[in-house]
Amino acid sequence: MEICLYCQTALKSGAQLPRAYNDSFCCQSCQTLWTLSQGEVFEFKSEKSGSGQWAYLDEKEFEDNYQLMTGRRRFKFFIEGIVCSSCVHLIEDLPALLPGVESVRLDLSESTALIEINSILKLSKVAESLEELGYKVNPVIDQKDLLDQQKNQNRKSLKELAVAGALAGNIMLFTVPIYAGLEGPMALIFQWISFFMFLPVLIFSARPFYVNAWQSLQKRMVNVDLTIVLALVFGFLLSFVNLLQGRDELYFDSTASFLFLILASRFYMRKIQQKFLRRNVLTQFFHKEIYEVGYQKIKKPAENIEVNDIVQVHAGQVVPCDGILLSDSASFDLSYLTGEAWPQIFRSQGKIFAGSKLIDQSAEIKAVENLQHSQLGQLIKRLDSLSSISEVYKTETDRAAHYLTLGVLVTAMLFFIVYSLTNPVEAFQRSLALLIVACPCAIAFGTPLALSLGIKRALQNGFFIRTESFFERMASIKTIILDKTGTLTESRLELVRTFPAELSDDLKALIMAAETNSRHPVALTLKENWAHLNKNDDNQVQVIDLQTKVGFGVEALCRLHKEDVVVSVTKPENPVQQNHLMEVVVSLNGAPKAYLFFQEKVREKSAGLIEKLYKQKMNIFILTGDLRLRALDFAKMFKIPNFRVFADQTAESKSQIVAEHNPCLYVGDGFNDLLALKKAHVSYAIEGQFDVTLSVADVYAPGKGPEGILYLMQLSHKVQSIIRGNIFFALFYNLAAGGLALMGFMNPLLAAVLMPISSTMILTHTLMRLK
Amino acid sequence: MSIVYLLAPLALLMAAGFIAACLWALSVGQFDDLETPAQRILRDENLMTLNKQTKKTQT
Repeated sequence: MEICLYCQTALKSGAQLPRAYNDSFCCQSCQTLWTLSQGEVFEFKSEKSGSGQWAYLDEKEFEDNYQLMTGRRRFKFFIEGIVCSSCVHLIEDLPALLPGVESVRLDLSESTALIEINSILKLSKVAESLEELGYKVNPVIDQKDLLDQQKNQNRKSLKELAVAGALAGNIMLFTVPIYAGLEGPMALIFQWISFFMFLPVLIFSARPFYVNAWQSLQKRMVNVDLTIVLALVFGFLLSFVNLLQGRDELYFDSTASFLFLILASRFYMRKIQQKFLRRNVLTQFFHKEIYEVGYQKIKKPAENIEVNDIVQVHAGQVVPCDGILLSDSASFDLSYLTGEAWPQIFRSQGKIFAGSKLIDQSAEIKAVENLQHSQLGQLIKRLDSLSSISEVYKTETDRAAHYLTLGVLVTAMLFFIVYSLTNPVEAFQRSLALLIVACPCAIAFGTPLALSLGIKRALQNGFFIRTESFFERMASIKTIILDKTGTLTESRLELVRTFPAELSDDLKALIMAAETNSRHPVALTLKENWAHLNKNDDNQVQVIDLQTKVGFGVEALCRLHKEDVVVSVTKPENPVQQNHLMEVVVSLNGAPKAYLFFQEKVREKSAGLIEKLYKQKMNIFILTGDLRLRALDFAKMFKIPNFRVFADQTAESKSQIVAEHNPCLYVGDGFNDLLALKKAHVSYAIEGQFDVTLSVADVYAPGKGPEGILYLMQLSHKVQSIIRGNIFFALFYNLAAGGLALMGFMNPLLAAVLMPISSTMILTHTLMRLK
Repeated sequence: MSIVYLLAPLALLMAAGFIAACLWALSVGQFDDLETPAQRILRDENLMTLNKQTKKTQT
């Protein structure tokens, strides 16, 4: 196994961020620290502080809003990209590298850094420096938010857990002598001690169960928590009555330890889930973009842009508001919104939506709606409200718990009614004993444990699973809908062929020269294909004049071999052939010289994946915003019948089709497919901005590609089979223990032995199969 | 056996003491972040001072 040269941790591909740096290190920090250890000097390169995208940090208004304490320049940053302990060292040693930083304190549990700086240092410099060290940073506005809630919730749960654990252990200590045969006044004292130690467990530690049980009763559902509450309360009452009457049937020890186990497994599960809870979805979408507003060119981050602001958008930037185009014309990449790979042209006064990406040099846009109220903002808001609905999803476990609990309750009632005719006191004792031992602990902690281990396993392999009900839904999938652009294809173009078939190097060089400044997909592909030409000195082209004509292409006056040529690369007015291919025509001095044909680049593994899915008897559909002809041609490659191809779709209609085919698995990217991902029964996003995507899709696996479906299916089936195994075991255990209880054989000692044994069985079963 | 009358309260007192200590530690936030302190202790202090010194000697 490869290990990092500096910190010695194993290098694994997957869960980490893409490694753009040297391959011998796990992260950039390790590389930096390693160079330091070799005696080299480290200094920040950027001297331009205050002019870049972070300039807005230096405005007074910002500092006042983001300062955590008045009078002290202390700020909180959200930091992405922390990999190993080297990151902790480097970030916390920022004061040594950047004079003016007073102190840095990192909190890995919430991925934030608390940074205090002196009165001279610019805040933008801090952000720049952190970026230079290889992290993505984002200022965090206040503390009274999600992170704080999470922290308090964690503290509360840990307190409940601590009390339950400590007391369960101590109750056990005072109960063992009685099992061993202690009698008389000493035994009575020990029993009373157990009773008093049980009270905090009952009143304090069990609080979350009361709340959940009450909530489920309001929804007229019987859930696991209700059973736990019943077992707890009845166990306590029965034991208390027996204690007062001088009988030995006390269940304090087994009930307390059982409660502790459940609390522990739930806490563990929540901890794992919290790793994914990220904040402030909308601003994350525009993360780093800063826009120039008005004629004074005030720099503003996306969320501060107001209606009627005139925004200057530069090439490659994403439009931060719904607005009207003021420039004559401009072309936008709408793939974030529609999935259409080919850019679209807008004329002056045309309506532009937030989320479109500008391709031309720059454009002026007058804001009509701010980010919050833009279509994109509304979309994301709608996703939020949808997410609360999907949480109500009833899992198989919930249903099993429901029936098991009802069954136990009904049996206990019937038994009590029938047996009380002969012996009412014994009937009461036995039916309560049944309630106590028949608590479905397999479901109460076996299921959360299996789910959290599954989530953790997936995480180690680079799959971020958001919802724990994912495994069950995934395991039941029979229909798969695949997005085309960006999912089965890579989101870039491929040069299929040229006409004439061979182009001279001179011509290629001229085309490259004309495309120098272009961000059009065609230009990007050509630059990649003909990269070798740049090294060649023979055909150095001198660009004299360059014009980008919107909706037309580029035109340039170039000088090659001391000769002036007008080169134009444009979309032909009358396409020559192959209507499913995208084509451009290259003209020299107005005469067409060559045609270039492009198509989307298909992922290497796409074909193999679809074949494997067919073998598993899946129904496969293709969904795309692309033209029907292109889509059909594409589907033919994968042997997907025409009636299973939906072309010419918008983000909205995609989500409708997905909804019609539910329950289905939808595989897409986190840009234009957000709504469809949300609507699908199960959704898997292979690309997208981390936070937004994960708040919508069930699974997000950057860099894994669509073939991750196979892994997810396998894992889901495994997790489900473990959970079912646990439930069957619980059923068996309940029948046996319940039978013993009703026949009158159940006593506290047997309960204290049976309960831990069943718990251990379930623990080992779950751990063995998921380790 | 009468020693139990002393030992039992002592045991209970100790248990109560530890629970109280744990609850206190929780409420002042000692368990909020379990990851960073564990990493912090591994930190190699020399590197940064080394960086400063070499910087000085160079200038």
